[in-house]
Amino acid sequence: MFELSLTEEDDLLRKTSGDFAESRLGPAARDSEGNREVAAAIVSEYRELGMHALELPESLGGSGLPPFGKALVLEQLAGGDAAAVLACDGVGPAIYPLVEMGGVRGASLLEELVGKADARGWVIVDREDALEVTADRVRGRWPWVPAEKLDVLVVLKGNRALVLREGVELEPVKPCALHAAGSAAVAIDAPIAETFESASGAARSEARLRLYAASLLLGVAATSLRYAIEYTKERVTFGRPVAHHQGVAFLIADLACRIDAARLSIWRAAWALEQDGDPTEAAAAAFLDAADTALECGEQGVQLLGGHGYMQDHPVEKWMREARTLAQLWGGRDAALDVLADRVLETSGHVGFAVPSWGKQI
Amino acid sequence: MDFALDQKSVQRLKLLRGLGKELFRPLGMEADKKGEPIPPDHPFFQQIVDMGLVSPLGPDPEKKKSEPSEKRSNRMAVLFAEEASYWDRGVAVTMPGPGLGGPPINKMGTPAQRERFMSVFKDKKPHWGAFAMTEPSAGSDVAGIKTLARRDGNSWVLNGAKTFISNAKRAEWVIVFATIDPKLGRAGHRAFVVEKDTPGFDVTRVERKMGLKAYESCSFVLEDCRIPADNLLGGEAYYEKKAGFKGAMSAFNASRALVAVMAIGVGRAAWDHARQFVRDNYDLGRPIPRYRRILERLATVKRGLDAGRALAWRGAWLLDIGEPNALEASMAKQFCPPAALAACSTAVEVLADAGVRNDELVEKLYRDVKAMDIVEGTQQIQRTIIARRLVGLPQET
Ligand SMILES: Cc1cc2nc3c(=O)[nH]c(=O)nc-3n(C[C@H](O)[C@H](O)[C@H](O)COP(=O)(O)OP(=O)(O)OC[C@H]3O[C@@H](n4cnc5c(N)ncnc54)[C@H](O)[C@@H]3O)c2cc1C
Repeated sequence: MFELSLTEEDDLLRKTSGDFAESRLGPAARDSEGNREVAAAIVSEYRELGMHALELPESLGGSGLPPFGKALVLEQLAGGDAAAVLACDGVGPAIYPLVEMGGVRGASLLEELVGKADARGWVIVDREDALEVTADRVRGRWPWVPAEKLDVLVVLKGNRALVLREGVELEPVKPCALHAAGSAAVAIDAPIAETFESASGAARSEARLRLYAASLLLGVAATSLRYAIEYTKERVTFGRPVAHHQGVAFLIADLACRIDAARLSIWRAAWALEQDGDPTEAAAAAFLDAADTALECGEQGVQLLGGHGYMQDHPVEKWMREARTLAQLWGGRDAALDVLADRVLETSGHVGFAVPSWGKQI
Repeated sequence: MDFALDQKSVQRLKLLRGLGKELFRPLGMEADKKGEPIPPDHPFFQQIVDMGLVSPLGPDPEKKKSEPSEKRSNRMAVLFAEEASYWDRGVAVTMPGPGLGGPPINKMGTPAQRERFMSVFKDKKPHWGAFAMTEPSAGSDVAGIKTLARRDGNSWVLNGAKTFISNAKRAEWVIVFATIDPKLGRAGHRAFVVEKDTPGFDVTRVERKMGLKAYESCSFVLEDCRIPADNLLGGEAYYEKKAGFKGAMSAFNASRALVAVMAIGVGRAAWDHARQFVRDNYDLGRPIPRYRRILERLATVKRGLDAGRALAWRGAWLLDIGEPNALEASMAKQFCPPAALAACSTAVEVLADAGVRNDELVEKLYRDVKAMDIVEGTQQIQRTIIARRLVGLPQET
């Protein structure tokens, strides 16, 4: 039977990451944004807690957690500072294609990178053929990545993952948000260090990227609403707390429902990733649910604080920018919608959630 | 019924467009990059004054009795406001002139006060006015303002604090709303003119905002700030008439349609940028899977912007023909900012990863436009005004 409770281990993960977000990431968030980096002490605490290596296989020194654990943790951490998560996660989402598609060579690459405290990695999904790929090189420009240095850049193109280690120039640009992670335009004229190919591996990698972004988006949405609820319960207009005006109370109720629905959608995608089947649809849906919710909560978080929300004394304006930026990752809402549109006619109409078997849709 | 613009208006808009492209847009981008307002001694302001352009804020009260001249009509004002905001809404607010302080002086001021406070704008140098209602603990709930005014001989003494006041630091004078007795609610409100450098008037900080960096939003305090009795706007007699203060508030129905259409200007800028991006990057030579959807989304955005503009036009037109427009102005103000926010958000998405770069304009517009849903009454407040008129929603305390 379906079962939605969390294990003791899950609770502990949530608590540990939640405490860290509240006591360390959140209070430093404005400084991290201003400095465009996260203080070294915070990065090392993050690593000591093992947050960066939760999903890394145990054979490589990680915790070997399934995607669900990481999703729980990312939601909590993003409530403190999503940008810091990207900065502290090091090789970060680049581990997905290396683990899912790289086999032994991917593992040895990861072993080398994860050991370095300051190694950074990123993944580009080149869906629209913006980059030129020859037998041994990748060339072109990519407008934005949330990093200012990269030790490894993985380009996902169809069923292939192209691993780049050099020939990737980063030119810092000012971003809408996520300053602490760094922000750069990328000029690529790079030899391909490794090429990995696998249809199911590429699909799983993309699904995990979407789950990663979705979990951060959910964290931003939830923290913004929590903050706005506390504020509107205190702030009085027309003789009562703002939260008690029906127009505001209904809005808060709607947003709370959307957050819970998005969270369950993320959990379902994480579950799908643990099944033997194609998680693409579930992950795309989770991303869309989280992105739509976070965009709404970001904007309404500012709105609920009125003029105070527009000022940088409160964090809600930062969360609004962050939601807008995170919702762009890896093709954003448009790419996720394409995925759903491509599959909708083949989706089953039965009760419950199916994970389609491989090969049907790719 | 005619939605077309006459040749003269088109010519005037063209002039503004030139200025917008050459000055507003680059200045706005620069202020945003630096995160600092345009300093008052910037040559841009003198240039604006030399060209005879002051901030477009509605009809000249002197000409109120006769048919308002087209140049100063509310309709011309909405056209100007949209075009100026298209190029940069923050820069438009820094334009020298009385700003939001203009309508109360014109509507409530005695002829002598109008002469005294408006003549400063005639000296061919840049000057500003400001309007201060909002307080740290009272924004939407205007009746809740706490700044206290006490009569003392031939003076008024003001004590209190105001926040988020546009251009207050550089203003020649600020219209300050205060109460003679908080228990009286709106009936206790009075409007005063506090002149620059008056002892006790102290700008304590310039706020750090999410967007609209080109102009200063200021907090100031009034500590035993003594002003001449003559600086009570309209004089004592004005407030004895029952409709006095309410009448004055109706002056803001003009600015509500203006703020609404400014949002449309910002949204149109985002839409235009995204449209151009699609033309440049995804022409038929390189069709991408989402090409069709992008076009549909751009079309949807444009529908929202066009509908919003029409609502704002109606608000302005009603004023020009002397009809009440409180409901219609609120409808415009409720509808336009969300439509414009959706336009900016969509533009960010259309540009994909480039959309979150600060030098690509659209992310700045996304930050700028949010304020339009807060100033001059939030969408929630507009809803209560609309519902009060449509279905008799009871007024709150
Ligand atoms: C960029 C900027 C420039 C500004 N310039 C000026 C200026 O020049 N002069 C000036 O005087 N002010 C200015 N303001 C202030 C602005 O007018 C106020 O911020 C605005 O009126 C909202 O008030 P508040 O911030 O106190 O929000 P609050 O009144 O505290 O509202 C908080 C939230 O509660 C909601 N709410 C309140 N009451 C109700 C209700 N009855 N039903 C449902 N929802 C409700 C609001 O919609 C909002 O979402 C400026 C603000 C900004 C952001």
